[in-house]
Amino acid sequence: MLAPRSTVLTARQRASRYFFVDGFSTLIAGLGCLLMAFQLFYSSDGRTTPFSLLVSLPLLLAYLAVMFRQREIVEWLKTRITYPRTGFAIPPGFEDDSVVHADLALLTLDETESNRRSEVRQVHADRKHRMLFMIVAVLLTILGIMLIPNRWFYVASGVLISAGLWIATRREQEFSWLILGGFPLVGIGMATFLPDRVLGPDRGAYLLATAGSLFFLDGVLTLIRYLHRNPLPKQTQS
Amino acid sequence: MSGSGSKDLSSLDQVIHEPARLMIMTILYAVEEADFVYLQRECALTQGNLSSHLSRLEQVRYLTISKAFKGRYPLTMCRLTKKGRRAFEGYSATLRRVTKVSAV
Repeated sequence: MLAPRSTVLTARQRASRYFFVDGFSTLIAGLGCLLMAFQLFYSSDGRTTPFSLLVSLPLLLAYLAVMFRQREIVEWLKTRITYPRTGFAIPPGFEDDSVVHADLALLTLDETESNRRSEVRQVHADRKHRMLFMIVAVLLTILGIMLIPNRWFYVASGVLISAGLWIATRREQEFSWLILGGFPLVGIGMATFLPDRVLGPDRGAYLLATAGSLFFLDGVLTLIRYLHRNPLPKQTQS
Repeated sequence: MSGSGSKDLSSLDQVIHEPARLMIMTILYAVEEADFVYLQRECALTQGNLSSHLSRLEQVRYLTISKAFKGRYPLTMCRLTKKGRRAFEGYSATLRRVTKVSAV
């Protein structure tokens, strides 16, 4: 029999997952992957025409903007769409500010705050390790796809990326089966349909493009579901 | 129920003991801070009801309420104070003690 879950833990988990409830972070991650993929397509060897340069440079800039300003873009969208509908909450250890609060709490030598400090640190460290694991796994897989000319590696990559995403994010963000099941299907699709003439960087670009499409589609579906369930209230503040 | 259990029960913090306020305290204990709309949605309370409970909790300094802006959207932010966190932990400990004693 499962042990009953603490209400505080449930509230904490709900708050942690709340950031992802509207699908914006997935949607923007998907957009980043798509931009990167198109940039790779246009900048790969044999296509360095003035037109390809004209297209690939803005794509690269857009990709860099999405990559480095992802959090700000998501926050900007949330401010206009999510917060007026379902409010705003900062789960413990989610904002970098909480570390500052935690460090200040050290000075008070207060037991409660001291416990909170170590808890926040633990949440941060745990998240960093999981994210690092995911990033390394995804990068190694993409490099493998670009360098290893074996079709079955595509299938293995799809399964590996899917498992990596699930392990790294299951506590805060539950990816839908569209993504978790989609990556192995993408791998099978690439192994079956991708012609042999497609070279290393382009193989990586194909994977990124399909991954981006999956994330983008999942984000859009989540956003539509969220908007349908949470219409804008007439009066939002007391 | 033993004498110790009823003594503990009478020492329960009556401000937190009210179900709606206990819900607010639980949610705020689980987060760094949350705004009015988030609390309203999580607790399923009306605006007036939530407002009055927040005022009561603010009165005893268990939480702080501040107004902030995120872009152009105004936020009424609520955060537990150290006193509030300690009170909630004390309340939980007492309740655990009471239910343990009662069960024997």
